[in-house]
Amino acid sequence: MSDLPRQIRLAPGDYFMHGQDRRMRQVGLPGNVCCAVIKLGNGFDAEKLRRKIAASPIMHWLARAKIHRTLPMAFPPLWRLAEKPEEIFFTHQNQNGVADHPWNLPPVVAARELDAARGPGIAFDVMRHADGTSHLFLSWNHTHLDARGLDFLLNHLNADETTGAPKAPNFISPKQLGSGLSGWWPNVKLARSCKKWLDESGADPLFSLLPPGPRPAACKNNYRLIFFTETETAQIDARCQQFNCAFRRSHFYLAASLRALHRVAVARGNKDGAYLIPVPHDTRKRGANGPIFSNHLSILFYRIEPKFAGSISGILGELSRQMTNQIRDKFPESCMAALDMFKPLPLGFYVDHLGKPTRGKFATFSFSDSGDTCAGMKDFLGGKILEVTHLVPAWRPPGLMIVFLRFAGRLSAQISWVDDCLNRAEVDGMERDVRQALLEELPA
Amino acid sequence: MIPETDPKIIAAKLCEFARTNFVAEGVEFDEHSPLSQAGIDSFALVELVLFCERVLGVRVPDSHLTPTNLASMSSLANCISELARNAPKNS
Repeated sequence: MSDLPRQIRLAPGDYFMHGQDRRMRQVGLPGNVCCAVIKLGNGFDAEKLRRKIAASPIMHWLARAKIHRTLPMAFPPLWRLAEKPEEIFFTHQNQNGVADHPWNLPPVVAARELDAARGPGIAFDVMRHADGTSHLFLSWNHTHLDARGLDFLLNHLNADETTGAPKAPNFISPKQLGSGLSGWWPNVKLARSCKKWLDESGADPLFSLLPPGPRPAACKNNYRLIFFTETETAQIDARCQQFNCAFRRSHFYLAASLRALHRVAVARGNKDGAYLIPVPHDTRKRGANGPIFSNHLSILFYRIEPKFAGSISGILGELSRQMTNQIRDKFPESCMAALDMFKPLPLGFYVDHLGKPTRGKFATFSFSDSGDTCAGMKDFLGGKILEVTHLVPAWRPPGLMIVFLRFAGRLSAQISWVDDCLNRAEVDGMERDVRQALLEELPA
Repeated sequence: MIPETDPKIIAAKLCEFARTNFVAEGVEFDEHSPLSQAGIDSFALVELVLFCERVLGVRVPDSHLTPTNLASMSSLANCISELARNAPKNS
């Protein structure tokens, strides 16, 4: 696609994700690298995937894009194309032994180095199993794209010749073209209101999972996957209606997650530490086919006091109230303006400034609801899509990430945690509590 | 502000707001489109509720955000129209 530019501006969310990547590498984690694990039935044509990747200008662009900075403090960093594309497609034979759960991430995938400053930021590993099924591990650095972008990318690769290639605006947002300097000054006022708001919502006391003491040298991310059947998912939907949040299912999932964490916090002796939770929202229009590249998000911050955190209804009430107030006060816009303004800062200063309003605590845990993933896709290049899971690593801080997604009418949740922030017994308890809250809880 | 009470006018304004703010260009969307299939989520819902407050002069309480009232823009418009008619005259 010759109309793709050689360089574009970073979306505000891109540098934020890059900052998290830096924070993670500081404690020995492999960076802000996610992995979509897609189980595919017989008939999946890995060779066709390789050809599609080789023939796609979008994939070439993605494989060569890396963060480039000319002069820190003066100019914000840019996405710029490297001269040569690097290899991003790999195949393996049944190295993980079994095709069914439980399985560990194959070491070759877990060790895949994806760095936004060096590129490439994306890699495809196909694992062929003896029974004819395959696992596609699509690893990506979160700086390059978000979960919805990944969905669009899969659709792009799955599109047949008659569908035609997507147009450039479906790949890159027009907002990222040009210098963008004219919009800088009006953003100052917006950004200041964001800082004021964060100063208030990040006031002590806040509960944190981080142990006291100096930053450890080597941490490890762990993953727990919670699957719900179709029947259970329908039951959870019915619960949403009982709690009057049929259009706010994310709030119900967040309330279940927070109450589970609250029980951990109480067991640790937390009495008055509030819970600060940033929740990203996709800013793309509904029904749009893009953009694929970059992180198109805005963020809402919820501060839930412990007196509300013990009951689902109490949390839901607070979420609804705080969400309305923030949207009314245009907080998402001011938050993005602040992130945009901070982009010229060198990464170290940027990371330091991100944590300033909350004195480094930033969040009690990270939460995201990816919604329907692989929506409208039943097959991928000849193989039936049997299961989709996203492995999203926990940032540190805060040390805990909970992500919900749906595939083919089945809900799943992923709890990822950094080993020095939570122990397995606490995660076992959280899993039990989340299931109980979603499946059995009744409105107060 | 005098609240709007005509459900047809309300539905048209809601659809226009949705098309401008959160429904992508080219997506078929009118007052009868099911909101659940149009991808209306919590964020969009709050934006809609605030639009009702700001532009239509009607406050929609949480208790009225039921699946029946949120089936489509048309049903939401009927709900808003009723709230507007029952609102105290001096509000």
